[in-house]
Amino acid sequence: MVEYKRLEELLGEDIAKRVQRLSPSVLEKVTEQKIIGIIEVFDEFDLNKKLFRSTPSIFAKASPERMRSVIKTLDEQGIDRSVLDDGGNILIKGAPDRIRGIIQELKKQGIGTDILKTNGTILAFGTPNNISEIIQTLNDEKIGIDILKTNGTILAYGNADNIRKIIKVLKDKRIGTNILKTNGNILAFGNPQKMERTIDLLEKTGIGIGILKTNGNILAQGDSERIEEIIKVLEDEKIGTDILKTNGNILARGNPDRIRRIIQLLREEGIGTDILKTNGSILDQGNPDRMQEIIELLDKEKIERSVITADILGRGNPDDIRKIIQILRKEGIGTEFLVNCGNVLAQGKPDNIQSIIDVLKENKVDIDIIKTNGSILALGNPERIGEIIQVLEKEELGLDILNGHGNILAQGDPSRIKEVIEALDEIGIGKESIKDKFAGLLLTTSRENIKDVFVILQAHDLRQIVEDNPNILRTRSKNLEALIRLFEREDLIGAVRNRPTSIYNSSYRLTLSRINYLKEHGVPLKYVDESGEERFNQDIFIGAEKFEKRYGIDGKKLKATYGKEPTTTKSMLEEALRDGITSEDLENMPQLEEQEEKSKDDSQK
Amino acid sequence: MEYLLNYMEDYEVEYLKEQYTDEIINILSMEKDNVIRKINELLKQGEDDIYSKMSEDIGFFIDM
Repeated sequence: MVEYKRLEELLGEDIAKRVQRLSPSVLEKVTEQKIIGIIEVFDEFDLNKKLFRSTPSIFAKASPERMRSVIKTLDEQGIDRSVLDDGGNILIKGAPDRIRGIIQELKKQGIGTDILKTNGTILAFGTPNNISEIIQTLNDEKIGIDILKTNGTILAYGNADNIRKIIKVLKDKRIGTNILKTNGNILAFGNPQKMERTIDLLEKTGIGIGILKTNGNILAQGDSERIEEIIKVLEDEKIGTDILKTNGNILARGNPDRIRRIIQLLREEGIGTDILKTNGSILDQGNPDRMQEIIELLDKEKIERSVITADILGRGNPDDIRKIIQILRKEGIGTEFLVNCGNVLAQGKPDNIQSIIDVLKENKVDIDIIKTNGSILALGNPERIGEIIQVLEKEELGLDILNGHGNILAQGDPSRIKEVIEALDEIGIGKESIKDKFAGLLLTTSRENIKDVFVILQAHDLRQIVEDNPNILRTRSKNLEALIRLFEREDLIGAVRNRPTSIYNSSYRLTLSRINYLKEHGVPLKYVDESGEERFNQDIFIGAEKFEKRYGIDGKKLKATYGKEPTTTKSMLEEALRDGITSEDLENMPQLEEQEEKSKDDSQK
Repeated sequence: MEYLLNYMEDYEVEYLKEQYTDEIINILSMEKDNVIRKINELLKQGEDDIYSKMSEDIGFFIDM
């Protein structure tokens, strides 16, 4: 037993309080000698004492002798001590012999010890035998061990028998094992019986198993009874289950009571549930008590209700919000602009915000810029902002460029901005143009992209369009090149010259599907106007709804049916080779599709 | 990009990813609130084809 005062002397007030609050048994059951012993081990091996804060229970659960032998084993095995940043699990649960056995097994199985850098917990919870069996199972079931690269936790928490059962459920329920590629944690944490019930429930309620494609966590963490309750709450409260399409985590991690309270709170406070449409995640991440506190605080500070966003309610911290409002008022910025920049209250940190305002003042940037670019306070970093201002001045662009592009300060990276300015300079864009038409590019492209785009335009004799179309430099070069090749293939380059936006204001895949569709239906892709100029058939570029209305095919079907590359058959290649093919021709050749030729042969037989 | 999915079919978000640099896709995510606000403004004005609008004038959504 140790007195609280003594604990405070040994660990400092902050940590002692956390121990008292989160692990009171330390005060009742642990001796002063043991606590001193643990601190000594941390000093001896220069370990990060942050762990005392995050895992105060370490004083109850770990023993100095065991910790010392675990660390020595890691050193002896050449494992970096950074693996100990795993929340104390290895120090508490690790055992020298088991650690040696695990490392030996990982090496024997060809996995190596790098996996421990991000999955140190394997050393805390794994066993050599279990690891061996899991790997054997993954190979037997044709899942392969590559899955362990991104899901090392399978070796820490999984077990072979469970994994076999999980795979059987996935196969039996026709979900397939591909889902494991992006949701390997199903194998680490899934429970086959619960999974089976969850899948049945998704089908029974009409939500469908499609939701699992993007939310495999439902299978890893979901519990069918809880899921059933959540669905009931969503239906009772007239939210509906469509919200789950983009917020599957509500089913994986949500708590039905909390969800009901959050929905009721939004209604009672007059905020309404519309904000869930764009931020459904607050239903699984939000804390209704804290939300209530934030709403009351904003009311007290006379902040308009329209400022409240789901992010403020879901991520905001009441203390920080109070301090931020005080700073904004003290600095004369006011709070009106928050209507358009709620993320200042959701993500901003008071100290950071004060430093940013100081940097802007020191550099004589008009503080009003914040009113139209609240993100500077929410996302900006004072040091980086100072550096960006220096870059802009050094490159002789001045600070006027920030008018209308204040976002540069919020999200810009000084060295990247410098590179973009240099790249623009290299392709012949003068400083005055950069300040004017090209300013928006400082944040939205990269040196590589500018160069790649320019090379492509030069190669296709289209370089002259850059000056009047700055936005072309923020399209992906691959998309641009594919579009140009498509238009060349379809003899539409004349029309491109009269509508340069055609090569950067659209996705290649979308344009390809439109062109393929129109061609198949005998609709011309271009026409010649009265002055003899070639023009596109505008239907190639119109909005999805208009296209559907005009041609009766929806976007998804259009993409699936007509968004495929044209194929090149063997006979086409042979013909081309006879005619004397060049390497450039080969590059331009659509991908070889042997299957098509083969199926033709088969049908002839 | 979750918020965009609420307004657009996911294949259209894929089109945006195909079309624009990573820097733009990052800004769309980071500036979620502002992008939502602008999308809502457009919806109120009767603009229903958000993909086309984003395709033609991405600056409207991200240049501030």
